[in-house]
Amino acid sequence: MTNSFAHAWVHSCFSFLRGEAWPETLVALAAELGYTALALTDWMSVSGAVRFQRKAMSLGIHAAVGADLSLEDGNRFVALAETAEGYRSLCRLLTESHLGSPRKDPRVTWKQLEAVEGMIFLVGGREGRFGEALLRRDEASARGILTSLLERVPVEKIRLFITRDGMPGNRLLEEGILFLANTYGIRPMAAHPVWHARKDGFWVHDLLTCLRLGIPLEALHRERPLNAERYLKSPQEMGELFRDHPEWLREAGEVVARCRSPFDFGARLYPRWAGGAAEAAAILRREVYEGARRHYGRLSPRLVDRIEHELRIITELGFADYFCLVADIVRFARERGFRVTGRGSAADSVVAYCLGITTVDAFRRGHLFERFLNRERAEQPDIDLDIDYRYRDQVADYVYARYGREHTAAVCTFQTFRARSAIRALGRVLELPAEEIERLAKRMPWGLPADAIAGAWKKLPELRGLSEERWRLLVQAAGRIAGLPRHIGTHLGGIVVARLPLDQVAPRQRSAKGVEILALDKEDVEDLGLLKLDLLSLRTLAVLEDVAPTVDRCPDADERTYRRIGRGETIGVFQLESPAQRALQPQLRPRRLEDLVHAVALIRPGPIQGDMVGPYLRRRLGEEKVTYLHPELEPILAKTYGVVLFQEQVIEVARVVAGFQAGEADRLRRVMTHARSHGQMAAIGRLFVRRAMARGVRQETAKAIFRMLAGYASYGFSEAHAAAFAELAYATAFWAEHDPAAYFAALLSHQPMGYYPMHTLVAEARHRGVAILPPDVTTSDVACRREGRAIRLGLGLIAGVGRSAEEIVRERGRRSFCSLADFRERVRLPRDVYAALCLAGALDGFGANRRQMLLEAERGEGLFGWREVTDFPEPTRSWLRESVLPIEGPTIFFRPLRPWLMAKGFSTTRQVRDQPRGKAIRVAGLPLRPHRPPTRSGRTVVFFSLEDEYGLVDAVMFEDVYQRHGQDLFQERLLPLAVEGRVERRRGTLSLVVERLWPIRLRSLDEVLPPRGI
Amino acid sequence: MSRVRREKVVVWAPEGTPRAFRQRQRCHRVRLILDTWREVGDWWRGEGEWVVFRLETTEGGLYELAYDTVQGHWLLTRVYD
Repeated sequence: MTNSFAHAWVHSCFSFLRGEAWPETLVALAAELGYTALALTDWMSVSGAVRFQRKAMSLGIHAAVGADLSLEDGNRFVALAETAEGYRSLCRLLTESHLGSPRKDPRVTWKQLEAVEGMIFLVGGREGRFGEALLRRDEASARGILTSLLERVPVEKIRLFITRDGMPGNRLLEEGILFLANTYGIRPMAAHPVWHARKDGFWVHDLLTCLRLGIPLEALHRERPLNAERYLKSPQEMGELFRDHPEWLREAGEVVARCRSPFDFGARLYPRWAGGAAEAAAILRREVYEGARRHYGRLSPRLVDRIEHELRIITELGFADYFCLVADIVRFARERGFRVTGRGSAADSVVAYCLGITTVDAFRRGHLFERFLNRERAEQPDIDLDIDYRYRDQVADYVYARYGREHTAAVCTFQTFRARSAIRALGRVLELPAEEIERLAKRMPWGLPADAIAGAWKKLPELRGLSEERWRLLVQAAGRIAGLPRHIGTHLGGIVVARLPLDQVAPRQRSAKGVEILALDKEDVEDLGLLKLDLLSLRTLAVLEDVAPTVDRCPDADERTYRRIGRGETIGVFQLESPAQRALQPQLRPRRLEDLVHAVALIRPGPIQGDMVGPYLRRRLGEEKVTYLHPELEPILAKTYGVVLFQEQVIEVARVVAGFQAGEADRLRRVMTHARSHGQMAAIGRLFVRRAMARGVRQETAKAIFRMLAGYASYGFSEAHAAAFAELAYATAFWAEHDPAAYFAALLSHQPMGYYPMHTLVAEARHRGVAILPPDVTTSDVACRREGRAIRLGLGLIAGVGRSAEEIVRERGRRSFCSLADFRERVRLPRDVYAALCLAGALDGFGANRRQMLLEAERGEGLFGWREVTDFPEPTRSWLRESVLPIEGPTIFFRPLRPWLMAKGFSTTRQVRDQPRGKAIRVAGLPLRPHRPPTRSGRTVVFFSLEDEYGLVDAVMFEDVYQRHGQDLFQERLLPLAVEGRVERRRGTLSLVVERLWPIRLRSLDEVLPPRGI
Repeated sequence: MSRVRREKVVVWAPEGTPRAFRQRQRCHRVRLILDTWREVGDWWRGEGEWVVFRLETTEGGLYELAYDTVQGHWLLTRVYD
């Protein structure tokens, strides 16, 4: 009897900070409980609907989609999409209410309800004015609300629902609803509000509610759940609750069954490039061959075969429109002089190269097209475009204008709880001391999942000293809310384009930054067959544009550039500047672009965890023989000395050794790079071995080959992606070598980017013989610029100056400043800006003393209206540091400290460079970027650089030392450290193996810092 | 007006529904259950779930009794004047 019931009022975690369960969890539970249908009705959202329907289809459950609507006057109705038109109607309704209401408080207007079609409205419950009226026996108000709805929606599309969720007043509510149902001829049905999947999810739902309301756990609030009944009750429980009215249960089941699942997962909703697919294919063919002739001149039969092969697959899979569209965007950008380059696996395609989408010659490099696109995996190809960050929005605007605002939107991401955000949010709810919350949050490694807090507590020495017991509830709660979406945000570069108006697919909302976003994430968008473009901002392109605006490609194989890279002097070079890369280069001794492609791919978790870096280097240097587990591997792995470095090689090995079809091999790669559960890996390993044996490979050999692939089973680059990055790396290294003043000036101007803080880049520029000229209001621009072999620092670099820099430069453009008085007269600056300019030396050009200038201002003796100012802040040393540190770095700490450090036996980083291997040494410096990359053994190895006034030395700290001293390295803020260790030299690289470290307290630095610079 | 209390009482509740209860040596017979609901206490302090009954006694008194499902005892939680 109760089998026909279906839950029609169900909320998932996409009812942000309300619902506790993922849509998939709810569907799986419904299936487990024996339901055959389920609706999802998140609050003012359908963001969970795609994954909900996908999971429901996989379990044979009928999925209905709707939303829990809040109206402008405080009413609440549940709307279910009965038909496809109903779903479109719902999307329009949600879009209008999100865009027309304050953010986070979307409201549906009564007027909007006049235009809805194909929807069923469920009215009842205590939420909203209707229920409130019935609970206070205000029948007239309840009638009024119902009449208003009936004026807009036909009676047969309305149900009044009864809830028996263990709340006070339910009887009263039920009586009122039944009375109105009889009066208006509206059919009653049973409903149960679901906010958490199982009963024990109640406390998480309650915590999330507190987070949303911004109240502590001890506070009372009417929106907090009173009991734990709002879970997905079983058919038996619902049958028991409504045993006196089984027809209400049946009615609920019928309503859900009547609602059509809204999504057609097989559809392709790409915008049409031309009249039809054939026409797009013809245009694509023409443009590809034009491009091929431009790139290659004469077309060899092999090249034509390759192009035809790619075109055939692209056309068969229906992606001709997509390629034309991407090529058009690239064309738009290039015509306007914006630097743009394709990255990712698109660089495996000769077609993409010919169209100008990528700059990597996939044909000459022998890249595998199937890594990018193949028949068995008919997913949308992934073409990411890197665009000079200054123009990325202009390119995006072009896409909006070209396809229309109704058809184009930014893709959303769902911001989730990670360790730091969970600690901060939960800490407030649990009323833990604010400073302790902050201390704990900052000690969590960046990006650590919230459910890893407990593990981190045990493993990370920097968390010692904090009582886990005291934080027990927080840790437990963080584990439960880990990964749950907390709000919607804008995807970094994702734009979705559709043939249909997007309102027919999903609602749009406004992000915190005011961008209109489609309320579906990138996986959902792809599932629904919408076209997704990644238009990414890349600052490196802006640097190259500034340095060499007219040069697209720098000269190949420049010896000087490669020599510099080979010495590991790559600070400021794209992708090659991390300590690991700098340590790699002297061993690699690169001489051509291919070597850089390998370098980019080598320092990735895949090759590192697969222990491939060592064998690669030994074989490359001739210290170890290049061997292959099977002769068929030689053609695939020869270029990487027999080790697996690229994703393409995984596919090729699977194809050649085990006879996998291209699509199967790609699936293997995906299992290896994404899923990687032991079960999945073992299953695919068995398949690999079986197939390889069938092709005559010995079982032991097949197993060994699979072990080699499995060793790689983590995130690694595709060769195409590595090649695209290597080209940029080479270009940046080339300009850093040949025009360091211009290059580092551009690099400083476009911060933040790269691996190092500004002062490290300044030090590197100096190291390359570039003089650093201070910012000066009489000559500096906003940005840094080259002055001969020097860099004139820009005014924009000085912390706190902000837009005033533009004002100064603008005013100087009219007429030079002839004196400080003239400057003060013509540029009216806030006093903090004046102070910052003064402290940074930007007013030194006028010849006055910095302290004198500040004091003048303080005393009101200046000429620019500060006479009344009496609260001019004391120019403290920390203030001095703040305004000058971005440029000066550790110099400001260590130069005055040096005599003291020398007396204590500390060497400088420069002195370390001259020490022999094994030499015990003491160094003091600021730690830069300490990080703990994954290792094959699972043991912690910490890498960081130690920087003083003479430069950097790279340091490595192994597990036992880390456990003793890690807490002093991973601090909330940068502290100078004293380090004891031994010098390690290996194949031309130098590092310091840390044996002991301790912080040098800032207070003692303040004591030795002389009162100068002002 | 009502007074909030948390006083242990002995309740006669066949099938879980109170029929009578004893408070300070006085026996009250339940005439009518006016409302019933469930509520969870301070879960972060380990408090469990209560089943609450608002009821009218034969003498016309209005009370709320709660059954603590974790502790397994009855409490008089509210007395209406």
